[in-house]
Amino acid sequence: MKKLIGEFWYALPAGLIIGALFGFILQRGRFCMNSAFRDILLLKEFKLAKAVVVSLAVAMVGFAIFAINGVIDLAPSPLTIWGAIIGGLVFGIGMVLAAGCASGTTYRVGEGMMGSFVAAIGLTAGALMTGLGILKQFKDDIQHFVIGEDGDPLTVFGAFDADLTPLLILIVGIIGLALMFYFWGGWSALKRKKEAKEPLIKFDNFVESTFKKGYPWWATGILIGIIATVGYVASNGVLGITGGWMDIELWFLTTDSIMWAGFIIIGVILGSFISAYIGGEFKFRVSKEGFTIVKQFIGGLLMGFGAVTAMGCNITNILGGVPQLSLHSILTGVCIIAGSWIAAYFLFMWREKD
Amino acid sequence: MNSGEVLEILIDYPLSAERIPETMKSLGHTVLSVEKPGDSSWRILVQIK
Repeated sequence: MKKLIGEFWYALPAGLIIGALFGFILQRGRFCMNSAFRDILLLKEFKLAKAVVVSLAVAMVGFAIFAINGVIDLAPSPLTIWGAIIGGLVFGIGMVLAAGCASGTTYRVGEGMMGSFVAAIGLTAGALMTGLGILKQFKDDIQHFVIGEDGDPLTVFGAFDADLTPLLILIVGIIGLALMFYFWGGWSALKRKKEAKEPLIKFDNFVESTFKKGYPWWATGILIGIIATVGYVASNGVLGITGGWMDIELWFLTTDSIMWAGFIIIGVILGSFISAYIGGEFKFRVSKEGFTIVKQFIGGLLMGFGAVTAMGCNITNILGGVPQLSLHSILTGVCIIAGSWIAAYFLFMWREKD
Repeated sequence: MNSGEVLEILIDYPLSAERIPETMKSLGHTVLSVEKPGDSSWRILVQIK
């Protein structure tokens, strides 16, 4: 697949199909890192955050298996420290204003949420301004300082090594999955089922629960981890959202045809639409307050700036980079969470504390 | 609101339809019903603690 990815007639079907599966799972699982991180602080709600952690561990095992077999090349980002910190914080603040991370915003477009479409336009505009436009110099200055000899990517276990790092990732992923299975209820659920002599999987409600209901957090996490792996294998690179929106916008502006990243976006929107339509959850929705739309657009702009500055949105850095144990992506992830908590506090919580 | 009164919540967003009943329960209120009268619209009745 490494050689095929530049071919239009490979990128078109592969991108649309994998994007559609991704979108379907995002919508069924309501998988959005904005909801996941913000609600830890706001509601003391951990289900989506757990789904994120499960997806990372599954992606670790998936990435490692295919990297060890030489199917894919892992490529963690070099530790661009100010890019990660500033980009991550701005992205985190932006996603709370936009009411959705990069992937959450994209799948909500498929649900018919106009505010999210406006946020996506903001995201694209912010990313283009930062990547190619008036903010490019500013971004280049921020990204100038790289930690690591000769700009080599750093992982949790030191400099990236194409042979050793995948093995370490595999071990971390398996230990992580085992710990989660034991401590987050998987083991006790199995024991309970055994004692009650229930079948492991009930197939009589399989169609209903696959196509009509929201997925439980653990199922969402496993499926997102698998689709991240499938996306990596298909393109020899991490899935990305922000790059895809830029791809589509550039296709409008120039004659370059859309490629892989853009097809992923179109696929995500289609998949999410199909999922929402089947589940009776599709509806054109426009916020009654005009200010909300402005807020979501500004949030999108901030996310676009943050994503390009941090060399990736939440999908590229958290779902793609953290499983590679990239220090850059881990730092970006921590700053995205910090940014979302800062914004959530000032938007929703400070007035409560008299 | 006073104790025992019933709050009617009308929403059009799937995640809220799952989250609000859970949050209400964890706050100690009683969720009387969650109905889905149409595409992407929900009506939740909650009796306040």
